[in-house]
Amino acid sequence: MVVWKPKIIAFTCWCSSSGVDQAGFEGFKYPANVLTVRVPCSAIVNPSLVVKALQEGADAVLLTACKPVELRKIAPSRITEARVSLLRRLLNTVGVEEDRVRILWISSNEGGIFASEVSRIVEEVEKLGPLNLRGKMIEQP
Amino acid sequence: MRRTTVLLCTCGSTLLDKIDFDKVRNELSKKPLVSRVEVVDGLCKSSVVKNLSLKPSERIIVAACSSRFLEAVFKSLLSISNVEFVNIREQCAWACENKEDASLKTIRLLSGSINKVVRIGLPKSHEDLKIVREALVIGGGIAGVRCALDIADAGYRVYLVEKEPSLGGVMAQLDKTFPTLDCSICIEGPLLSETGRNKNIVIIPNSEVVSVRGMVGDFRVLVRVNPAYVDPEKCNGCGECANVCPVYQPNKYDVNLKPVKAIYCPFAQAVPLKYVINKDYCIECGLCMNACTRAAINLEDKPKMLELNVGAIVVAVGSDLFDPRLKPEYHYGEYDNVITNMEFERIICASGPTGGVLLRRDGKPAKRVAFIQCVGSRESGQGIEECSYYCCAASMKEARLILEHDREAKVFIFYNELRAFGKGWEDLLYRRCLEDGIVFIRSRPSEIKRSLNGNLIIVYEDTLTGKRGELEVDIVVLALGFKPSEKLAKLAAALGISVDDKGFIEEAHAKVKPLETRVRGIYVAGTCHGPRDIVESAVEGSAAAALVISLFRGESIKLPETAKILENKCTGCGRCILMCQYGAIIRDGEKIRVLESICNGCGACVSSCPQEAVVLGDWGIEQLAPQISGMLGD
Repeated sequence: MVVWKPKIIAFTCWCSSSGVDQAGFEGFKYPANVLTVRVPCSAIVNPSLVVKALQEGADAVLLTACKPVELRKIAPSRITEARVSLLRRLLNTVGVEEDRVRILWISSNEGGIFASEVSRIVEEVEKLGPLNLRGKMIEQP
Repeated sequence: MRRTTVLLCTCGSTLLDKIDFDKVRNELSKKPLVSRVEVVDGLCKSSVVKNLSLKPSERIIVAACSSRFLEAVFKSLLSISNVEFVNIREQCAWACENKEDASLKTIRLLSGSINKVVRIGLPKSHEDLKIVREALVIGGGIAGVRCALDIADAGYRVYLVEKEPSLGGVMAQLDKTFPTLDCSICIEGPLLSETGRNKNIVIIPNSEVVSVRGMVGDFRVLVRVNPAYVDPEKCNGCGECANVCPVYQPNKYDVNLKPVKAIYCPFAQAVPLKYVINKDYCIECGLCMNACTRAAINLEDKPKMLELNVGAIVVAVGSDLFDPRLKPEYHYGEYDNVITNMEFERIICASGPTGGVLLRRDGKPAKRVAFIQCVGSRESGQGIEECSYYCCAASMKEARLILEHDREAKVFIFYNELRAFGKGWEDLLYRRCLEDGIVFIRSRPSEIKRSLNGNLIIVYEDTLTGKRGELEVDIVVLALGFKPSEKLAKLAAALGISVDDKGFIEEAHAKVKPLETRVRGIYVAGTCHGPRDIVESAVEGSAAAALVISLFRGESIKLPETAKILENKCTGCGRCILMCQYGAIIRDGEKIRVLESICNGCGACVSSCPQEAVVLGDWGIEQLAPQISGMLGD
């Protein structure tokens, strides 16, 4: 029997990629189905890319970013935060569970938090089941 | 078709039992885009990389450890820009439970990168910027002078712009410095004259920066030189003009406590030692013109504009002090004997208005003196909320100066918290103050009253005992906190740098870039970015000079990846301007323009553009969408 495992895309900003690397460095294990896309800052991620990932077969999309409080007035990740909350509401209206798109605050020394959060999220996505967004779109009359 | 090479690193064979490299190689070799897969042992060794004989035109995917270690090797040493990094060590080998998972994840991540790398543009020739190896220092106080001297000593030309007729700043006005009670002008004076003599330093007094164009390495600065009415080339500072001048004016250097002539030199150690005329007081009688044997005086002198071309700018314009009139309970300006600490410095100085004797305004000697701390600092309201850094030490120093002049005097210091944190402040200042019988009272006095005999009565509550009291003294000295000078916001706007919520200049990062501003190539030193003392201002002057020198020592300037606007796609909607938190995107006529010296490369503009007209490196939809499909594909 083939056990279904969710596929998860994680957009990781420069700082949080270093946190993701740190998770491995310190020996934290997390599910292998989280695939990272490194970007300079979470704010560069166009919401259409998140939707694209869901269309292409991802069951959930994470954006890891710097906590805005860590920065001062300047915090591009606030833009990400606003976009993600909008996108979640939007997805809800078309029947995609909002918890399939999330933002995670990971600094470059929070590898442990990344590993534990990601493991928890994978479990939750497993409960939600496969998304199969493309299949759903084809079914539409 | 251009070659795509995948380099798999086994990290000294340590990853062999974590990832199935044969499986990965086989899977990747099947992909039509891949022309070569190499399994190597230690990409971090430059000898290993050289043996691979990679060409700059090749597309390369590096599957190894954290890209932080390898990026430099590939991008700088080999000048290969068509390179993608995949971290198979920390993210696959070390993070997965078993070999099968790790191998699968490696294949998925690499499949994404293979899709992405073909969409990365041809190797870009680095657009390196030229550097004009001359610097501008704005402000001739201790920070600016120290900075100019250090840059000049490294062999670079420095323009030193000062708004007053002489260099020196606040330090030149002080009598003594804490904690050692060194004579202030005696230690600053030699620095000033060294600055005046230095062949690499061009001092531009009486002048202000009006506008700045350009970017790091190549700034164009417009400076307005206000008329001095005396030709500095001809004036030799003999002072014959001032001898015959019939008009007196208050001297700003002496905080308006001592008169000077309308044609004057602010103080004896001034650099440059040239006379200037204050046109607000000059009656244009022409006596000075007759007296000047060198025909240096020109009453028709006009402001001049000067354009400087420099590679770096240091802002060291200093700050103002809080205006004590904003605290009406202390009656400054109304009661004669309520004075500021700057006025005190001039009065106690031997070259000051009373020749160094502490007198009340009615001419009687002052026997009882009180200091009130934190006037305009550490309170919400009119002042600034933070500690003003220098005043505890300054008031203790001033208290000891009083006792040096008159052992019989009684001195009281009304403090909130006594902050004696600097080197020598505790032992050389505070302990000796206690030994000398200076009385410390923990209180922020509520009011100063005046008795019939002209004495001042301080009304206070001692917050240690809870008792209220009144104290009769001859003179009250207000220890004023720093406040940003009025012109600072205007200067910051001209330079394109930002100010913080208190109005001081904002650093690029308070911790790790404390002397850089948001504009590359513009640095900050001294009190214009927050309260500081002389030591720290001098330290920052030298440190800013070091930053300028290291910029000048480089062959060219490599900017980090910045956003670019594709003009053929841009419709000028301006959404990117709203999104940019750095203020790096501006509307320039009909066009939208990215200020490369400010852009930090976050890409908020890229994702906000509805036309996909903003690009930043290899992180557009064009590159990321195929990467995602590659990762998710079967």
